[in-house]
Amino acid sequence: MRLTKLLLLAFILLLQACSATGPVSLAHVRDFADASTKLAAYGELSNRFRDTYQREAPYLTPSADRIARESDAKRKAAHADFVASQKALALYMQTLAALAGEGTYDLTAQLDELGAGLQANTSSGLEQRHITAYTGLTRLLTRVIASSYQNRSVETMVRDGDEHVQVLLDGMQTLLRLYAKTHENEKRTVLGLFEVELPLSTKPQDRMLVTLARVHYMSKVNEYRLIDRRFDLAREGLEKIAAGHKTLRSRLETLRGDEVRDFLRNLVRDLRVVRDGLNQS
Amino acid sequence: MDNALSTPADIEALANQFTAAADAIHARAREDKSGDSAAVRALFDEELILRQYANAMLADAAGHVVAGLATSQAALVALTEDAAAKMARIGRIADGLMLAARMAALAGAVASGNPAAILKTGESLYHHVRP
Repeated sequence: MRLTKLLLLAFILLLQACSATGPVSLAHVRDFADASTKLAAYGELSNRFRDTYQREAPYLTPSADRIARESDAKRKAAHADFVASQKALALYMQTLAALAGEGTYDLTAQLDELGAGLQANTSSGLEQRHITAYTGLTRLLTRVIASSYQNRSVETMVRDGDEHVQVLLDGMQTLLRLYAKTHENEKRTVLGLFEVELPLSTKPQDRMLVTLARVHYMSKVNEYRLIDRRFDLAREGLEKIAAGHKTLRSRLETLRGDEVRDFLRNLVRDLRVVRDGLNQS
Repeated sequence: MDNALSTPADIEALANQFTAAADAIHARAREDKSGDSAAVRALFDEELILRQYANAMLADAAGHVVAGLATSQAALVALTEDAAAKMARIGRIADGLMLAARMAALAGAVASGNPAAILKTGESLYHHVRP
């Protein structure tokens, strides 16, 4: 009977799907891709880098200001490129998450509707049990095919993407370091002015100015401390993403025991349902 | 000096030297016990200029680094587009299945001659085609 032959085909496809390049743990892929939010700190610090001149201008002498303006132009010109790297990486990670998504390749809803459509046609001579078997089997086969298609798509993306992900992250780490050094120079310019001028402002009429300056100095010190922490977090975030993708890449060849076992169990159960439905008379 | 600053690492190294010089001047200015305010201020002004040179080098280096990322960035974008196309294909298959299902249901309803069923399935097909 044709339907039993289709059952056999389902088994064969199932075995092939499992013995081919083993399935990536899709949950792991989704977890990794959710980490794309860690890129936000890099973006904020890129913006801060671009706006350096705005913050330091009040503290500069005219000759220092001249050089500062040139740097300002350079930073502004390159800013779009700094951010583009982050965007490309974030988009890649989010697409990977979608590709590995639970619902992405799930066609069961559509197949159930197809089955319902067929049922409305029982006047054509098809018995109910044939229709049930047909939809059940189609759903099964689609799941097997779709799941191996999904696994292969995810694997392709991770395998082909790893080298570029690492290059991009490496470049972003370098940029963070350059931002940090610029930040240091800005910090020492601003704080340095007060460290030089405060000891020299000892006259009684300087008192109000000195007080204002001290308050401003302290608020700047706090601001810079927070930014230093931001740099540490940004660097750690990028390191985590690099390590995470490297792990995904190395896991491509590993069979995830529990997932395959559950998959097999569900498929066998569904095949039994189909067979039992066929055997009813 | 044209080949000496060819890599971002070289440019960064030069920036480090400017920064180190500025730090040294700052230390000198703070230690000053002479009370000569004009001299101290002059030293600080020099320090400012050195720091600005350093930042200029750092901005240059950053521009070079980012230029080197263009290839990998493009490759990643291409991979992402491929994946999106795959998902769109599955989406189209799903849509196709849905359409086939509803058309089959309509055919069945018409064959059965049940007006209520015809209307109901016709409506759902209409809405599927024109969301």
